[in-house]
Amino acid sequence: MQHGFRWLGAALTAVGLSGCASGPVKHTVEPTEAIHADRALADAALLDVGIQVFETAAISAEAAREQSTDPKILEAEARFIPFHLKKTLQQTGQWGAVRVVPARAEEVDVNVSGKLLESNGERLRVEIKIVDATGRVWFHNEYAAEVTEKSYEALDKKRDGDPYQDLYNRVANDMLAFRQQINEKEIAAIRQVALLKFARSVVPYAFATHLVQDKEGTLKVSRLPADNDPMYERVNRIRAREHMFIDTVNNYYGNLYDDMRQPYGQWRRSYLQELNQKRELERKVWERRILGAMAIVGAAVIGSNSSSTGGAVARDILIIGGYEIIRSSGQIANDAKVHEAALKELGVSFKADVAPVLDEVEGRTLKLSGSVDAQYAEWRRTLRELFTAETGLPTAAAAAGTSPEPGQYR
Amino acid sequence: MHIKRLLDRSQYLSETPRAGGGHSRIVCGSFHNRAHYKHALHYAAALLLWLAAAATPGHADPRSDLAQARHDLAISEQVLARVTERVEIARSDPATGPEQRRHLDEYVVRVREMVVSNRERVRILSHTVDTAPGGGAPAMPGDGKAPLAATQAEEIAALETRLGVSLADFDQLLLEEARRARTRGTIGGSGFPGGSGGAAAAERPSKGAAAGSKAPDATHSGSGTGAAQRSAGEPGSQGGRIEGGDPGSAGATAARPPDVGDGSDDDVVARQIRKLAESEPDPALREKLWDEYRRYKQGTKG
Repeated sequence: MQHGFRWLGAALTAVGLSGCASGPVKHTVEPTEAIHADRALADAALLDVGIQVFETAAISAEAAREQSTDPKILEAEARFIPFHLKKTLQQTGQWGAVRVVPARAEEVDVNVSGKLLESNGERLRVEIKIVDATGRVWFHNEYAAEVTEKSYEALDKKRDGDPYQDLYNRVANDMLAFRQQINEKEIAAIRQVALLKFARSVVPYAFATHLVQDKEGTLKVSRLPADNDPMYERVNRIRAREHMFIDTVNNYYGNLYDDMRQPYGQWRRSYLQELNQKRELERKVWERRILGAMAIVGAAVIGSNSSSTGGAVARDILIIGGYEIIRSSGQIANDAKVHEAALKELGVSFKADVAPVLDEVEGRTLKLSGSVDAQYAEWRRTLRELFTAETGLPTAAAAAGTSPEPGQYR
Repeated sequence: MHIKRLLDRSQYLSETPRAGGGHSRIVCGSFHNRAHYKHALHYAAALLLWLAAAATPGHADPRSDLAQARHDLAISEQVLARVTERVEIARSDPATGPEQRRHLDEYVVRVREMVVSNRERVRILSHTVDTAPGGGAPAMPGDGKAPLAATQAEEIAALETRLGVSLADFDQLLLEEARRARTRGTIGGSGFPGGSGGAAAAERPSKGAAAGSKAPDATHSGSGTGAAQRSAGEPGSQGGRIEGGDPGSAGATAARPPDVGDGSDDDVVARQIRKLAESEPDPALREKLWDEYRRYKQGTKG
């Protein structure tokens, strides 16, 4: 019986983690603690993680303004959130190198892609998809978390806290849950495939046959390069530069993260305060309107049922009172509009803070990516010539298939 | 391979037009009369004698073998070019299934191995001819080319050098980026991360290098994300190797490793790498440049 429950639990976990065939599985995040490693893991058990800069939902400037945000803010958040996830994953001690990557990087052991669906001071909603180097989808989930003003107050003592930390913890724990399902042999295979994918992307004519795809579309290693394969050694040297480049870009993102953290936290907190005040006032407006309407209806009822002087007085009082209540609700509505304007102003103000930093970071990333593209073109040329010199393969044939993969910065 | 070549040659000889016209059908013909049969036997005997002579090392002429090996190499290269071209066309055809693609790839690999084998044979024979007494002259006089093995080794060494210099240039570019990042001002006053952990950690293996991330700083708790933490080990998930070090304080030759010598026998490229290493203030990157220098020197010696 216990076994039955265990299997049922495992099946439900599997469905929850791998339910990706028909869109993301939705999760509302509850308070969650990240699971930290209780000891240093062996190198063989570690997988590197590459977190892509998140996608953002297409939104017009006008629509963004209505939501008290801005496309520029969304762009900045699309870098801030992956960077905080990177830090969360690092701090669990369950993973190898964790990097935020500027573009699709399939040559990393575990690739994390995400989409920012909603983000403000009250609610964060993201879509996360995890795929390993072999092409196996770990999970495709949508996470939503809501916070209150108390959540921000609790962070006053923690200088570096994030109100949505539970969401990050939940993602980290779900990744860990999947990784714990796969054995060391599979982990080793993922790492080998990642390395050979990189080799294939740089020197396709030398490593085209080292990987094969099975019927499910999963990549497998068909053969390994020799230990003393000079081309493989060169590829590893270039891969080290790839890591250097990404780490440099991570410096930029880290810089953006540091610069954003304080104004971003303030923006989110102020946003929630203004939103709550606006909601409170709107609630009052509706209460008064209903109360005023009830008074006027009551006056009408009294007027139709009573012809006495007292009844007439009561009717007049109710009419005047109801009218005054409704009129005062208009004033409160105006106050609410002030808060609404303040919300928009907050967005404009935060955008003004973050836009220069974002532009600088993006400019430098683009410039460096351009240099990397040029370097890769040169390295590819040299490797092609080396390959030809060492094997006798004609240059024209060696050149085949050397175009960069779409979506790559190289 | 040698036997196959001889067999191919025997096939060729067996089908060579004779003076009397027609072909002597030793291999796949039919014998019309006894005279023809006898005639064929004579040729077969002569062929066997030739084969025996050709197969005897003592009678082999290294120069002619080298010429033949070069001929074989040229043919195999042409075959590889043709096969590769056809395979590329087949691969671009959507109708080609994954299994067929795999077979095609395997076939290309086999042909490529044949080319490599022929190259090796040419290299060995060239060496034999060059080192044989009185055999210093090129095997194919008048072709105006240096011995192939030397040409190939030089070409590979030159390309290795080009790659090494390009990698060193790239390292320098990233170093400059890291320096610029360190001097950058910030709007939040949190300061730019001091350590270019990633760049500094250049060629450490990724998994091993991940130690920095797998053992979180003991002072970190919850979701700590402060700049102070980053300067201690962030960003760059490989951990900050140069934390605590003052990049600007390193002297130009303060950390020259003892095994790199004085550089008196350096060529232009080695001098360039040495100069970069000596002027590099970042100890981790400097060590990497010295590694590059050692690797280059090793290559030029080999």
